Amino acid sequence: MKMKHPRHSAREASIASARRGTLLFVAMRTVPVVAILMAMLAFAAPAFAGEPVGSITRLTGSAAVIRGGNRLAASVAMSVMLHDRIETKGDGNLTLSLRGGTELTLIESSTIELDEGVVAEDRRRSSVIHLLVGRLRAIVNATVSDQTSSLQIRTSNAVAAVRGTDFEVAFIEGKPCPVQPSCTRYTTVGVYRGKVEVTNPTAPKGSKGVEVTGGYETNVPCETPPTSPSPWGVEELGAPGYH
Amino acid sequence: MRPWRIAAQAARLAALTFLTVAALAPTSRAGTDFLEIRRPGHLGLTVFGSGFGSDTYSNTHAGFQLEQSITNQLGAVARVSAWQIYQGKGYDSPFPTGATGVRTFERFQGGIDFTPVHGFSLIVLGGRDVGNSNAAVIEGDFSGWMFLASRHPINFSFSSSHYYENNVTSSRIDLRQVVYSTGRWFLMAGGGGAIWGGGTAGQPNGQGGPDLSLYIRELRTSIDLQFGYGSSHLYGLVGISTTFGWDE
Repeated sequence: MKMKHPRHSAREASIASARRGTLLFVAMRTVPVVAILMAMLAFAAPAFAGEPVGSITRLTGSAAVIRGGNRLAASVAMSVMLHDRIETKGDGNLTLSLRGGTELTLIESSTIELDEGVVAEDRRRSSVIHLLVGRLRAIVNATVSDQTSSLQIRTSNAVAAVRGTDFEVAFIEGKPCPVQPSCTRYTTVGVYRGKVEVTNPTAPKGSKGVEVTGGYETNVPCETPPTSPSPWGVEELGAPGYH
Repeated sequence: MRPWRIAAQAARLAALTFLTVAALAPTSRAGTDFLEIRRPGHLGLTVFGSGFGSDTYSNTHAGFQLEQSITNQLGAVARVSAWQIYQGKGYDSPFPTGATGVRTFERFQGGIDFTPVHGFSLIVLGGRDVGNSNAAVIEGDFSGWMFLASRHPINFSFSSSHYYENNVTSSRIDLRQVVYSTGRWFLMAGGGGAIWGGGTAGQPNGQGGPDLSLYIRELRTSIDLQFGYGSSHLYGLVGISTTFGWDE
């Protein structure tokens, strides 16, 4: 049997004690970090299907929420879930408040789908909305830092990515595009305030997007890149004059 | 050559230039878009009112214009307006004399709207005045946007009419630029005026001054102002128009 040297024993005891202390120190430091991370995950977790991501705050006319194949009549204060499809009729106008402060107004005869939502109670917000047809106005709450909130509105031929702004997207099918009448499937993006980055993922590779600022609009016809921004409304005005 | 004939030739030149630009524009696809029936069709309605005032001539008129698309580049236009002329004679008066007292007439016009290139349009109208004025009238309205895909596009408009009641030819020219744009409205500023002559007007007359136009996008309403000086002395002109549209 080998006897331990008293100095060694004292040293090992000291080392063991130090290790216990370190472990305790690490554990003491880790627990709050893990707790903070868990809390962050809890607050900033992606929303899953079946989890409310917002609610209907205003409704005029008729609208429907399609959830899991079931068609539900929309009503004020009704919760909306991830992957819900929301439709307004010809007389319908619906406002949706998402968790985190983003407000979406669906104009008549429009359909959207809530594709993705990551929402935090404090600062970070990210949402992806698919506009299938019609017009949608989005107001991203700008009281929170612009760098921590984001919203993407996608149509079948355009992506509008924004941070803290107020803008309107329309996806129109079956009508001639004003800038290219032979194209009958186009998106327009008009900005009230802030900036919106618009790209066309279906355009030829290497095509660039445009940045649209407040008061301006861009058109995205079919598979071509977005047009250079022009004053919002010039297309509607057409020919000014005194008649 | 009489100056009003020069104005008429300028109108022809503008139309020719416009057609040349249309023919040369790479994006016009004139052959296919001109013949291709627009589906769905679009019906547009413009309601307008206008007033002109000076110490020698004053009038008001109001009416509406219907535009029905036919092909992607061609449409049919009908315009009905009611006119009141309070005193004198001026750039858009069809009367041979400037007698005092209110004279009224209605104007019925029909024609085509040609849009060969995005941002350019030419309306050609023929029609007749009914009432205190009772004769044919022909009109051509051209509008072209330049630098449309920019922050400050420029609009050039040229409108020329011939009144068979007094055989006067009158033309309006305006050049305006978008100077400020917000999400709800934009403002245009520029200059313009009118030149008229021939018939009972005789020698050429003219007037001109700065233009200011406000377009309120959400109301689809345009308010146009012009003031200036010319043959009718110091004058002011105000116009307001609102458009509506329906896809069929």
